[in-house]
Amino acid sequence: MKHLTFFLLGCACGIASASDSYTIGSDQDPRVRASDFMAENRRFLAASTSLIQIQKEAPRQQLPSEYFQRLADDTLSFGMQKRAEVIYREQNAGSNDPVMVARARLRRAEFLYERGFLPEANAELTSLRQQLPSPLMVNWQDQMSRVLMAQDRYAEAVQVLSKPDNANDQSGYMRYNLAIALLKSNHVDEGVNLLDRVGLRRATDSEGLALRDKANLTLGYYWLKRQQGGSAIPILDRIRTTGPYSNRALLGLGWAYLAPEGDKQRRMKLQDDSSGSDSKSFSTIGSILRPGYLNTDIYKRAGLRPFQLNRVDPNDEAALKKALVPWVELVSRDPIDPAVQEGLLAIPYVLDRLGAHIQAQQYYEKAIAALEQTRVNLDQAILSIRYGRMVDTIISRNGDADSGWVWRLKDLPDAPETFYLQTLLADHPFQEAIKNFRDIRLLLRDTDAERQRILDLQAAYDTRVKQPVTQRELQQRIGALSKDANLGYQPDVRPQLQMAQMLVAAPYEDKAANVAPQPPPVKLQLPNAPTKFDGPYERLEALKARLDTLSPKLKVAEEAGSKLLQKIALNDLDAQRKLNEQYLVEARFALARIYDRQAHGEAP
Amino acid sequence: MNLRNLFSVRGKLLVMLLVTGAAQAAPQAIPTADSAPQLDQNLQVLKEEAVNIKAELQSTEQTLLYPDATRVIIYFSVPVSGLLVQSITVSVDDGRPFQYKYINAEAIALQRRGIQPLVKLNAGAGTHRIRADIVAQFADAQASTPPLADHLEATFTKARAAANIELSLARRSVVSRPELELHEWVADK
Repeated sequence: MKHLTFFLLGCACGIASASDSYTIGSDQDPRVRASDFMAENRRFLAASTSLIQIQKEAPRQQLPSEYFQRLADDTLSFGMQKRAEVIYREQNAGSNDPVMVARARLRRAEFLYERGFLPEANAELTSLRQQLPSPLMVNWQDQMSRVLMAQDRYAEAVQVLSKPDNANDQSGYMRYNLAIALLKSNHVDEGVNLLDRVGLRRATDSEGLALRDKANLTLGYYWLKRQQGGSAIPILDRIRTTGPYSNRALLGLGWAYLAPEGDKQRRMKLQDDSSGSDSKSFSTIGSILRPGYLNTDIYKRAGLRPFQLNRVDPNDEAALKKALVPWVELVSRDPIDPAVQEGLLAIPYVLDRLGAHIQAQQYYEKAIAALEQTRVNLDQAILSIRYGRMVDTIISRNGDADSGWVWRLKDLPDAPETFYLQTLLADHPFQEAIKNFRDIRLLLRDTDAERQRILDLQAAYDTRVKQPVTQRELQQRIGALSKDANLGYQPDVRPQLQMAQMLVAAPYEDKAANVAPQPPPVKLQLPNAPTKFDGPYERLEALKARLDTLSPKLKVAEEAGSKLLQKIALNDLDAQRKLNEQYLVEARFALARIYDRQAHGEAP
Repeated sequence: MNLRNLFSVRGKLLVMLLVTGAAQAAPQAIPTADSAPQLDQNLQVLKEEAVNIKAELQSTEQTLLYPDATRVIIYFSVPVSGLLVQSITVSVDDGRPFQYKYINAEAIALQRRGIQPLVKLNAGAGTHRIRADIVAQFADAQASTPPLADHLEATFTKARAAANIELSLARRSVVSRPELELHEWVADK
């Protein structure tokens, strides 16, 4: 009757499910597709587990290559490089898709590079070069050059990025890296000109604009370091007024006005010199010095009262006034940045030279107050990190997602313990240590939840009602199993069939008939009795024991991971504190010099 | 002291800044802490054990709670580019409805690739009725555009083996409106 109801309902609905078949482990397998969804959601632990479960449930099944490809990818994405490597190697041996194989090897090399295993990354990429499919050449060049540069092998990096000559296919980052490698390997002219071109590349997104600023900053400081102020100024002028490099550009621009002008630099004509600039579409540092702006009295904008100029050469005074423009803008920014701190010292230094001694003294006092506050903040940050608060603050924001290796910390919480660590965000060792720490926390949470699940399952197992099977149900089961066995598939059904047949012959309780038959004398004996029973309850017990072994090891790893992060952060803060100390010493010394001159009755 | 000398005096700090700048511009190299590679290696071993335990636990749990003979897994897919699902409600045989609300990241992932395992339940062999309601919206739809909603009532026939049912919010043709469809997946023997 029930079936008839559903049949009629089905007719009324007019929709019944269409049936499609899939090969276990193939692209159509719903469980494989479910793992794709998890991977797309960056839940690589769940995706890997789901795939491994497929293998465990069909141990005799020959799974297709796409299954192993996914398993290796998800395993690597969860940071299990060694395991992924084994799968990749097995997979690669039987694969006839060289692009897929090469892509997998590039991915592995990238993991090794980011985790700091540079010789291993180099070896993997070197061996891949021989069989590299041409569509992946640019990817290979990019990775190989970064590995070589990280190993300080700049000349080789230049070779890799120059041969084959495929400049048009290379990204802005690759061109920037080539420029750095050229400079570091003493190919100065080519390096400078390439940096110049990267600094003029068209950019439409924030990443492209940041790269352009970075190239201009590097080139600007390159000229400054060589006391070529005249060459540095137009380069630093290109950098945006707000951006990750703007503070250092403002500082450098001020120094560039005071530096010797140097020789005019010739510009080499290179092959990809066609890139045009669109730098006029947004506010650049050069626009601070627009005509008329300087003449509105920079001293007034710097909050300075009128003062008598020393006998300063008119050209020098003009340079000093120009230098003050970017610096006055700079010191209005967040003094957490060392560039701003140096700006706080640069202004009074110039004022002192111009003869504005009182104003210089006031600026020095202001700078010292700001630097001392920074020192207090740095000390607090160091203390917070030592108490372990930094790691918790960073992790607590998005610790729930299990994103493994591909996750990246994009910003830091606005907290005292993380305030001064912004520079570490671009640091592979810090990023990788954070990723590992998140994974450890994830696994600890997971093992706790699994332990509870095991207890729940065991409780359910103990208390469940064990209904005896009816004679009819057993006969149906035998019929179904016999059909499978006769058709030759599902080899696993044979023991089940034997067991069902045995039970039919054995005493049973027929709930329908409710007649208790007389038990015939039977003697049951398994031909090959197992030494121990391995049912669900026993498997749960074994898993519980494995979890009990795993958890303490994870705790140890958590402690080690936390200490590693602290060490990286403290090293960085220590460097910042030393710089802060140096600025403070200089500011106090300069102030003392002014006081000293006043005490000796000299012109202050 | 003239300006040229001033520049020289300040050179020390400037060089320091240049060094800082260069360090940030150059690619990153070896880890700063010696223990990092060792910790990474150890963690990989622990991860492997954790994944194996998790997979075995899930298999055992399935054996106990959702045996092959009665297991039904309902999956959901959205193979329509730009269509972000907001919620889905599913019920089988007038059982308690199961509702899932999507966060944006999940909705985006779902229309990219893969299918979401939505519900796992036990049901005997025979015909079963499934009802589903979805609410979705195209990513580029204007705020005033009402969300896309669809309802499905259908039946599926469960054999004695585990059943894999896929609910799919798909287009039947290039220009048609996305609608819920039902597919059953059966493993090759």
